[in-house]
Amino acid sequence: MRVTFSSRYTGALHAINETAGDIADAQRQVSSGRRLHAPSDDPSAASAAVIEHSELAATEQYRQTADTVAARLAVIDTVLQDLTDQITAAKVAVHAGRGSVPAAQRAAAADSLTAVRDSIFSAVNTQYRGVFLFSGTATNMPPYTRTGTGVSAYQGASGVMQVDIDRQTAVDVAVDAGSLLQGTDPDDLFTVLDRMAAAIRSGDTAALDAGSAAIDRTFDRVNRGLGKLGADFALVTAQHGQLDARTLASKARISALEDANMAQAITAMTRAETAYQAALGAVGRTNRLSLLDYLS
Amino acid sequence: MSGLLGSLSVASRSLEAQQYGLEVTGQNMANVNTAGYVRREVLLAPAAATDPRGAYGGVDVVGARATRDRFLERRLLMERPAEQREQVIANALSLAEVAFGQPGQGLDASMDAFFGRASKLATDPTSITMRHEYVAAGEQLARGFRDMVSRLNTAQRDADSNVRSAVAEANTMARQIASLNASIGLSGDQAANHGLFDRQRLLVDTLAAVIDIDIVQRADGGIDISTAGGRALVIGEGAYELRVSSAPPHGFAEVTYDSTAISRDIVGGKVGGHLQVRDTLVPSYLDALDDLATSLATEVNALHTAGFDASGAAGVAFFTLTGGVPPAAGLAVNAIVRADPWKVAAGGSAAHGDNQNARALAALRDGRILNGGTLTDAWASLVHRVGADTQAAQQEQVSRQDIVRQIEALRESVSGVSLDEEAMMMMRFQRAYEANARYFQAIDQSLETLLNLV
Repeated sequence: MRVTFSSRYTGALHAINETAGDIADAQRQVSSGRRLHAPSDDPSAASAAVIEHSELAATEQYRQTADTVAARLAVIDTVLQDLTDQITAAKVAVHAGRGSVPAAQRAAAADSLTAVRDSIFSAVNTQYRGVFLFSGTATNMPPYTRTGTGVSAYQGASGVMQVDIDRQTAVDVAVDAGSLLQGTDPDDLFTVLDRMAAAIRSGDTAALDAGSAAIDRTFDRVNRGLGKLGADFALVTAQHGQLDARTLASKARISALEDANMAQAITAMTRAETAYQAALGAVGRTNRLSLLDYLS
Repeated sequence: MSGLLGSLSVASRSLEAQQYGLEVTGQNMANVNTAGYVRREVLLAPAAATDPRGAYGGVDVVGARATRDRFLERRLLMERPAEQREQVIANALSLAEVAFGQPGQGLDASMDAFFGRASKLATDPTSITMRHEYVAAGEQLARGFRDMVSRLNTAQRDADSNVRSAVAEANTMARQIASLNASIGLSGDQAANHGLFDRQRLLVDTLAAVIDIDIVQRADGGIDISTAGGRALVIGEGAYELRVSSAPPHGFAEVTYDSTAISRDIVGGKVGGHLQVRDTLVPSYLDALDDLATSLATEVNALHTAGFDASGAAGVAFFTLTGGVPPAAGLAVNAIVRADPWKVAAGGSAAHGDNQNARALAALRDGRILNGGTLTDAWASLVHRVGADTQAAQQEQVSRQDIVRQIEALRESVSGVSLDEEAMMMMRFQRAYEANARYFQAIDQSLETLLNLV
């Protein structure tokens, strides 16, 4: 086969371009640390990476939600603990005010009950970032309001607000104070406490007995609420750990799909550099030779 | 005496022949870098004997022959259109795929943000900030769709503009080939037309890169050219133009021949590549985007209208689609919701603070609502398709380019100029010239000796 002037240069140019292209690719991988710059670099990996990024975004979102939920549950937990303390204090006050005790002591016990009522009122009206935690789904409304010297009936919603902390996992993030402080009883705790304060003052033992039973039922309900809250808290904590693990796994899969294997990339770059030098050297050397040089 | 004079004449013709050889060699060397140039070869033949005994007559210059391989040239014409077509497609798609962004940074990121904001809204549906964020994420997503459509439309318009300029280029070359046919026909002497044939070859080669063509060789050396679909572009001295008309609905160029639309018949060459990008590849991506936008709008709106806004009123449509334009191009957040984020229907009931609908909107992320997959699956599938199309075009282009390069190398080995070879020929003719000059000198001296006797 005849080797012509033009074919020598065309071939050399092609070899130089090809090796220069290899260097550019390898350099891009080494400098960016990524092997996936456009879908055409690896369509299957690009497609899988889209799904994986979406999974990562969802997991991150659930993680953030779990953080918010944990903070809310912590506040609710504090309030419920406070409620049990207050109910215990109410029981102590009732005990102190019953029987043949002086009127002054009864009045003091009755005042204590009123103070307990006010504390419970304040506790259930607790807000977290502007959200009422004990109004059920009606998070913008206080569960109870003052009506003169007393407390209104429950004004919140009966539904319980749930938030998803994973695809199939939701937890309650608000409490329906109506069912907590009243349940199936005819009166709520505030009414019961007011009535008992009056009963202590008047020495109405029967009313005190009925009220004590209602307080006990409320205490039980609050304790059950605390138990459920503890379970939810444990669930959120466990879920958080799982979400952390899933985030790590997603990031690892994304890295495997998108990131360059640096050892391979650097080796490829070195190989491409050598090939480029060889191509340049070969072109430079062979094109120095010409029969014309030998003609005198 | 007459014999010596005859010898002088023979020597003179021989010197002329060697000089002609040197001239042709010089011509070859001068055109070593001229595109389309075909190497010339000197043809010499022994001249008819002039002496009675038939011993000598010297040398005749028959002419110069262009070293051309018609078979290889024809093969090249067959391969060139496919190579150019794939190059055009690869280049156009390499640009278009950039619009899709990297995974986690394109439209998929906007979708994730949109569903993420719904999830956030579910944690506090009474917060105006959360509602603002959800609406803003919806607007960003809708804008993402519109931007994507705009970029793909730009790719289509670029391809369309390239179709128009490529057709104009094809017409110009067809006219030049017809004009060459006229010149070749006028000359009548094919041997003297090497320069015209070189030019003809170059033009045909360039025309084949623009559009796939068939060639018929004419007896006078000219060529007739038709498109692969059988439409005559050049017949003898006549060139027949391809025309371009703007066709509805987009006003894209329709290639016509004698008022007949032939765009669909054009497969190869730059024109074929640009048409493929404009009429097949990009529209298929736009269709997929439209499906995605329609599903998104339909599903979100179905949930949103079933829910309740902050005031307890039934929800309105969250997304609107502009009539008269494709869904992805006309996707927008409802102006009512945009103006008042309290209109976001986060509640599953009229109760203020209900977050059930926000949860359902967030759960759409996992909803198998488009072809049995999620919206993200559909996007991933589109990204895969664009990537695979681009990769296939790039690989096909490399493979076609290799074929073309090999045929070009073979053609070059027949028709190209080798400087070493020309140096050798130069030496050969130079030495022959020297030898003949010595012969001339010897005859001249013999004549002088003879004349000195007188």
